Amino acid sequence: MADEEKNVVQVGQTPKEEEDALVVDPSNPVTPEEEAVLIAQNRAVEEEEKQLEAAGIPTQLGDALLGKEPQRIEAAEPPHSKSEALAETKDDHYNTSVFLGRTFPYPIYTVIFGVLAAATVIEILISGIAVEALRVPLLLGLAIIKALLVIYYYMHLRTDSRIFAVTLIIPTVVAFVAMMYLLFVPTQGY
Amino acid sequence: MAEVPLDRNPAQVHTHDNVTDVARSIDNQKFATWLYLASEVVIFMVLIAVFVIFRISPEGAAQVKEVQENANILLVSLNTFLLLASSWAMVMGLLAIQRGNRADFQKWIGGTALLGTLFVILQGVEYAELAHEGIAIYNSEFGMRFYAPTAFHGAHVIIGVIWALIVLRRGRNGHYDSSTGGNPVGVEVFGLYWHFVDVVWILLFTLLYLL
Repeated sequence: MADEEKNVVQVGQTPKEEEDALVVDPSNPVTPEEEAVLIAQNRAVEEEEKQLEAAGIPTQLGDALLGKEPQRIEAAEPPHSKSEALAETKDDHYNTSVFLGRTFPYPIYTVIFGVLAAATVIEILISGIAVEALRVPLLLGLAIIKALLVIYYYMHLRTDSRIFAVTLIIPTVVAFVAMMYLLFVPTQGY
Repeated sequence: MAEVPLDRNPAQVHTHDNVTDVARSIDNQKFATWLYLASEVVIFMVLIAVFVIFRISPEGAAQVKEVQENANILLVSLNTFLLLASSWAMVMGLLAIQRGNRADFQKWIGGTALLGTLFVILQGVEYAELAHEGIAIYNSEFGMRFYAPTAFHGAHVIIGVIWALIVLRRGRNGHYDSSTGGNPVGVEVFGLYWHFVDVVWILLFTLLYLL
């Protein structure tokens, strides 16, 4: 061990001397020519490392030669739910959203609120139409669209498990069918 | 991950991965909430069906038309905007707490509670105006069919406002902050309830006041 220590980097050496220092196995000493070749190879590698670092590419080899600890990349803690993952992604995307193919400089929830408000204004205007055959389907259609927007975006059915959608759809369909039966199947008196 | 003792079969040992447990708990809570909302769908659909059946009958159509002409559509429309805004504030509050922004969370959830309170107050004003017009719960066929769904919805809004204040208080104490070991799933569950109340009002507003 004492012999090996003679060949390692010594305190007080210049950085250039430190870089050129080699850890040599005392049982297999190198000749001066071999040492010169190894030093030249070492310098070539360092040049390459510097070029890579200048290009912004971190290298563990360069860190090892300079005596630095290698960078450890720690895995990010996984989000707890899909809706949390959506909230965590990209701060720049928080302030922009894409809806119906158009990009808006607001979060998606604000865009949806704007759409809901506009749809409500349109509903109020449509309620003034005298022709019932036109007014009723338009109003019902708009109400259903508004409800679906709230359910899909605000209640996160867009990102959550499909089982939640099934949980909502089944009773809605059953209740709707029951309502249609009550509306259109005539009652028979005794 | 827990280490398996040497005398146990690894396949028979249940490892307690904390992240998996938390994720499963979140999904269970949300699924339970959706099941509850499914039951509420049935209740509200029954109340709506009762009104719709009355609405399409000849006697009912005339009464509904008369009430709609006398009703303050401006007031009800304002109420609708208030509830839509409260839904927006709710989801923005959820987004804020998911990002660990407690101050914004308090602002948005406080706004949700305030807008919900305003909705209930204006609903009371509307009931007073209808009572002044002679439309009460017991004195006409229209009365019961109108007040049942709207009052039941109003009760849900009142419960929602109280729940919002509880969520606000717990959020202020760091209960939902992931940095202090909390979890925002409680806010998400409340959000599901509040948005459902909003969806019901969207349908009631159209069916009872506009159609």
